[in-house]
Amino acid sequence: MSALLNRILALPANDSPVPELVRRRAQAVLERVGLPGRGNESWKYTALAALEDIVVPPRPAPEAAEALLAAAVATHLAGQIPDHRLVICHGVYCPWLSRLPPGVRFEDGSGDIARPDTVAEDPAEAIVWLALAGATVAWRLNVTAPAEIHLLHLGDTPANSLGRIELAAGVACTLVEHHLLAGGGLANHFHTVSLAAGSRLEHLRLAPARPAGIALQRTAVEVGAGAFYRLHSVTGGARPARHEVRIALAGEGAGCALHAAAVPVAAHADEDWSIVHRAPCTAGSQTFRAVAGRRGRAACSARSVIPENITGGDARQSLHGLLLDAAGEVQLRPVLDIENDEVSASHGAGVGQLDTDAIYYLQSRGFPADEARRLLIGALLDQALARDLPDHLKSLWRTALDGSAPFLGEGS
Amino acid sequence: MTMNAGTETMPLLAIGGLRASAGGRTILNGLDLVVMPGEVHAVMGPNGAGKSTLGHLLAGRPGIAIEAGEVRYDGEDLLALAPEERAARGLFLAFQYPVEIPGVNNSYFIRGALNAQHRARGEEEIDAVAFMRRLRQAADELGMDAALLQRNVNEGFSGGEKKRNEVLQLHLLEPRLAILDETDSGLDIDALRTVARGVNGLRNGCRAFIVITHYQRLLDDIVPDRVHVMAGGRIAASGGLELVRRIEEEGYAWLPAAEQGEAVAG
Repeated sequence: MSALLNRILALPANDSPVPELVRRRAQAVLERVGLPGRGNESWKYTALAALEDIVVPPRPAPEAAEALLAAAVATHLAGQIPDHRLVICHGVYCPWLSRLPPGVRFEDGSGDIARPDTVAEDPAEAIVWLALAGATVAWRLNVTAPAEIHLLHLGDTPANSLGRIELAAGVACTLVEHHLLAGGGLANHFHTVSLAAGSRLEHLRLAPARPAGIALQRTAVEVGAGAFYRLHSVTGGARPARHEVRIALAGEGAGCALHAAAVPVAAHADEDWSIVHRAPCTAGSQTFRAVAGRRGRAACSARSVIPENITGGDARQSLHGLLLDAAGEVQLRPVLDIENDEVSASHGAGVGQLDTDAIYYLQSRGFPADEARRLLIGALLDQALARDLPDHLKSLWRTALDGSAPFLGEGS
Repeated sequence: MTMNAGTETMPLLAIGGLRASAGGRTILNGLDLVVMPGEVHAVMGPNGAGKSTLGHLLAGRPGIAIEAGEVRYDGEDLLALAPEERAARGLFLAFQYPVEIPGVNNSYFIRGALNAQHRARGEEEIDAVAFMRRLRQAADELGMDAALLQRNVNEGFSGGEKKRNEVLQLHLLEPRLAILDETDSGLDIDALRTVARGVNGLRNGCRAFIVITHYQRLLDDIVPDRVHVMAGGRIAASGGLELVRRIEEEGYAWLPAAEQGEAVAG
């Protein structure tokens, strides 16, 4: 076992809701399959070595949570405090700042963790479980009525959490995750989502840059018959930032659409997506746009799997990156793993630089060079924004993007 | 000639002894040209004569090296200005091959261009409602499908639609000097007349045009004050419409042999 794994295992579990049993299972998985390294395509661009710096300092008291919430609202939410919210500060749930609407029930999620099937034979998942040492919150939301809920992660790192959201049949819900953590520590979140038949979840994940920190997240979604899951993600990157999305289209007619914009500057943003079609007539799309410069690195591994026995599947991938300078890097890895002929599938991927002809054309119409560059970069990133998203959510998406992309408009 | 043309004595554009190269080849080789406010100048010439390079040099395209000569625009050193500064001072180039810009809405682009120029001139930005009214009216006059206003800039446009979109921008940006680089290419006869009508509607005693073309048919509708024939990177002949007729009948064989070739080797 590597020194790195020993380092992870040495993390204090103190008051973590992750039981020792689960940690031991995760350890056993890693001992069997090993830590994923550069030879593993999925982890090729995630520098696990950063985990060697993990420290778990004493947790600050959450009394400053009100001030942190006020600052977050002013900076990231256009001054509007969300009506319905779940506030987690310094990794601690703050019930006095949280408010949920009728039809949404908050529960302690610790019970989910102790299930015997916890921890799959998957090194990525095992790492997430192990690194959850120090997590202090395990939450579960049961949603039985339409709602828009904002999940605010505030305060310092480490701040790890386990979350589960369950939508009842036919319910439409919006979940907006705000990752507004500070500090150079680890933020590690493991969220599972269950969508019952005919339900729909719009999921915004807004993670501005935290270049000194380590950000890991795994979002696992099971989509029932006729249900739909849509992710809209903005990430500014960290050292590294990795978001794994695992979708199971489990019921007939289930669908999902993953949209992400990554803008790492002197940071790393890694998206690792998988959509598995487990039922007939299921549809999944993956759209990724990245702009990288100044030693920023973005990577997206997008996989769609349609097994031989699944008919009527539809899989689409569109991955594109823009390099702002010679020190930026964008790595794209689209994979269509399709074993059935009765499906529709398409994919496109490419990495390029700003079109100098387009910049000149815009300048010839009066746009200053910086404005022209900003317009072109914004146009590329906007392709990751769903047109039919409500305006207030689009506004949040753009605010997160602007806050993460200080290079927009600067000369290259 | 328009009614007020020639009443002002200072040239809007004065090019003297201009020599320029691109990619190691000399393209312009001692070009002289004076355009007064309100005048329409047609520039013709064989392929490779340097016509489009002249247009792009005036608009400020990167990659064209000035080796000698000067260009004064309204008395100012044009070559010292960035492309956007030239645009803000009223210089407009209708591209022969307009650039597609995925992800940028056409009407947003045109309004952004107009406001960028207003800001550069210290003027107030245009009101969104007033702009949309003007935009729709101009598009209608040019016979342009309103749906193109909401599409991405030139993306998926036909050749003719791109040219109309250039003229639409010309209408809304109201430049002082408009250079039309083969705006007639790719247009059918009806579209050509519509575009020509649109250009003629902008002619006044102040606004000048340089119309780069290969064909008489555009100049039947946009009647120039002066016709120039470019060859070998310079103006080889200047005159009136008789030059256009001669080119239609004889091609360029009558030009001095030294000037019939394409660009001058650098």
